[in-house]
Amino acid sequence: MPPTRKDFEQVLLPLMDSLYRTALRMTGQDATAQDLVQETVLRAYRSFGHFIPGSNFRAWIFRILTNTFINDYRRRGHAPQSLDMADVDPSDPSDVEHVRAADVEALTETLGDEARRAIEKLPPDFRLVFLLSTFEGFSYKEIAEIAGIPIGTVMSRLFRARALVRSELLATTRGRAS
Amino acid sequence: MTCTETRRYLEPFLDGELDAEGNLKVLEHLNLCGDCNRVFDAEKQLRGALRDRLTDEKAPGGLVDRCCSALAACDAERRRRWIMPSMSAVAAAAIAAIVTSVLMSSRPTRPDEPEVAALAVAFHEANRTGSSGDST
Repeated sequence: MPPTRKDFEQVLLPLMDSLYRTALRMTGQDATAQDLVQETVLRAYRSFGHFIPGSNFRAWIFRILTNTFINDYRRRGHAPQSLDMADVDPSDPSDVEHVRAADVEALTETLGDEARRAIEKLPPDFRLVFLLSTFEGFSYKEIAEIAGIPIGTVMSRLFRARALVRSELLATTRGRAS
Repeated sequence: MTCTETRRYLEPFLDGELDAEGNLKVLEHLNLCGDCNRVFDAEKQLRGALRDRLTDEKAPGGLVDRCCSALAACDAERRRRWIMPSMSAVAAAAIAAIVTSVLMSSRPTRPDEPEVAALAVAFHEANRTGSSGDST
């Protein structure tokens, strides 16, 4: 029997918060994020017949969200002002700044807005892997499938994205302390 | 495992992406090295704090309703598309039946025999005259 709307809603509804959160961080605007989620949901429903039951629905619908964002929203400029790719050239991992316990304590006081800003500054490709890993708990392999990139690229983008977020947060905290 | 290697593997370790051997090596170093252990703790705390602060946003209730309505509309559209071709197929069959019956009834059941016979005779005559003319 072909899947029904009820079958689709049953697997979709528990993921609405995750989809909206990711869309919000990718577009930077509530109204645009809602449109992006709705478009994703409709596209997923239209191709739900091709979804293999028992496979990873969550990764599947996040892939549709990613493609919809890249094809329809990013081109139209619905994305927060981010850093240039030139700012995130890979460098020696040993140069990367690490956080200290004192920094984390200072950070947690006002983490919300500053973290949001730091994440929104990331270039979209880096932001996507950061969000999928840090907040949605996807594995490197799943992120590679969602973003359509090799695992090695997932790892390097994730590494650079974390380093950038960390240094943004540290700069804010240490700047505030001095 | 050295400090540099440990720091390189710290993120995949925290992400749960190392194999059993890698996990053991990192853990072994973290147990022995206070500096790396502090970096590890701070990183883990930062991730936890980020997750706590930035995963509390819920999809607005209006969005869930909008999506469910859009899905219902999508179903209605599918039904409409499915019914329309079926209806037009029935309509097409009916029209074809009517046209066929009209044609059948308006068409003479037999050709106009005297007319065809006259044409055939004239054609035969013409041929005959033509071929005898050629032979002379």
